[in-house]
Amino acid sequence: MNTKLFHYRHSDGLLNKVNPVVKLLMLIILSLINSLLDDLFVIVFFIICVSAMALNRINFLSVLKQSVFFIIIGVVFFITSHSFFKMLRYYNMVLICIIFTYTTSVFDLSYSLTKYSLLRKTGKILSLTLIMIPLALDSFSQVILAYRSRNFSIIKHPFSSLTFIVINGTKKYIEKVSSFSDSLQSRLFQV
Amino acid sequence: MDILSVNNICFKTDNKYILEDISFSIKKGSITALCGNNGAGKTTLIKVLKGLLKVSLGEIYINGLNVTKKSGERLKKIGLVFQDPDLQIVGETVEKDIEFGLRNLNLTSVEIERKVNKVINELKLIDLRNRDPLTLSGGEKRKLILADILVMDPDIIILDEIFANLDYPNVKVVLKLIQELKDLNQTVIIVSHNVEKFLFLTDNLILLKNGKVVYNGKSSLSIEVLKENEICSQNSFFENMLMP
Repeated sequence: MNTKLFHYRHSDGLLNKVNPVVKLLMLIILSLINSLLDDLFVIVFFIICVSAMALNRINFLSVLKQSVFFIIIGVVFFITSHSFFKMLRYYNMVLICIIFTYTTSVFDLSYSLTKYSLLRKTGKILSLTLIMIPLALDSFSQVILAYRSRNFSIIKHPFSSLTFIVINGTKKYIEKVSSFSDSLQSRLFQV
Repeated sequence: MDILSVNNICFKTDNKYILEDISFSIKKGSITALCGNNGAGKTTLIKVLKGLLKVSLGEIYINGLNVTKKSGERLKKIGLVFQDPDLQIVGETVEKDIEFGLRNLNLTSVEIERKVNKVINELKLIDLRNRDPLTLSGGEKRKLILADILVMDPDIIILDEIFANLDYPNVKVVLKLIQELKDLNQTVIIVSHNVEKFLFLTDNLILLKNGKVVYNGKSSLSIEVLKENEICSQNSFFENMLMP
């Protein structure tokens, strides 16, 4: 299945039905537990995370394929700290975040937060931030593609290409944000 | 009765008039084509109508009510479908994207669900309900953003360059959608620089040139004006379709 990491997937799984605010609190609590647990319990925690994924029908192998970057970082942890459990704690953290983002819609979370008057603005700003991230990634990848299609070598001219990419990517991003803000305003979104 | 009346509106930026003395009115349930070449002021005009830009001079009436100074009112009463659907889709699933506008209206969950179900049935989006909007085809995306707007019950729907970047099968999907809107007695304004695809569906045509209205009348009588202003070719294929 073609899935993106840290991206919500609609499903009828148990975790999808849990209130997003409860899941956010659980994420914070489980992160703390993960860092405070005895070494041996970290393995149990890892098994619980994988089981939670299986229960919610999240394809572990697909997640593994897309997590190469995080796996490498974990290995670096292992090499530098000589601690298997530190690496496992890190992998547990990544797994908890993946489970949370796979089963929680950004909008459900932000609208659940806006029900609490103190968190209203936080919820709206959170949704706005999370909407803007893919726009930024898209703008910069478009600029990089445009350069590469004209045989512009980033390796040969690292500094000038970086300057071009940053300046033009930011320009493109601002253009997109301007159109996007019109579209949000037209659907009565207000912070 | 006129659902929208625009009286002598002007829009000025950097001491330059982008729109000058624009006046027209639109009847309820009609389909109007707003056309003009690039830079004619179409997008500025619809942004002014929608309330995204402030009117420099003139008045706008919706259902007889002066809404010139009430941009919030115009935001609610006019639904705008933008040119680039990707910049209008915000939800992670089709259903959540449709819900987005309703949630901003602070409706109850029961009411949101009822309205979403209604529009999903009307536009036959049931099979796409739980799909990621980014995986939809061009025509399906246009259908989704139309659902996003329809669900908010606007009095007028503006479609900005709705046929842009669509292949022939998807153009047919959108034409069918516009026909369905007409059947639902919706008031629609279709904005485009290329009217050949949809002129036969429209009742009236407004032609803009350099920020001014150069034609405002029946679509069926507009062919010569369109040819003169190079909006369509001299031997346009849709001429026969419009002949009474």
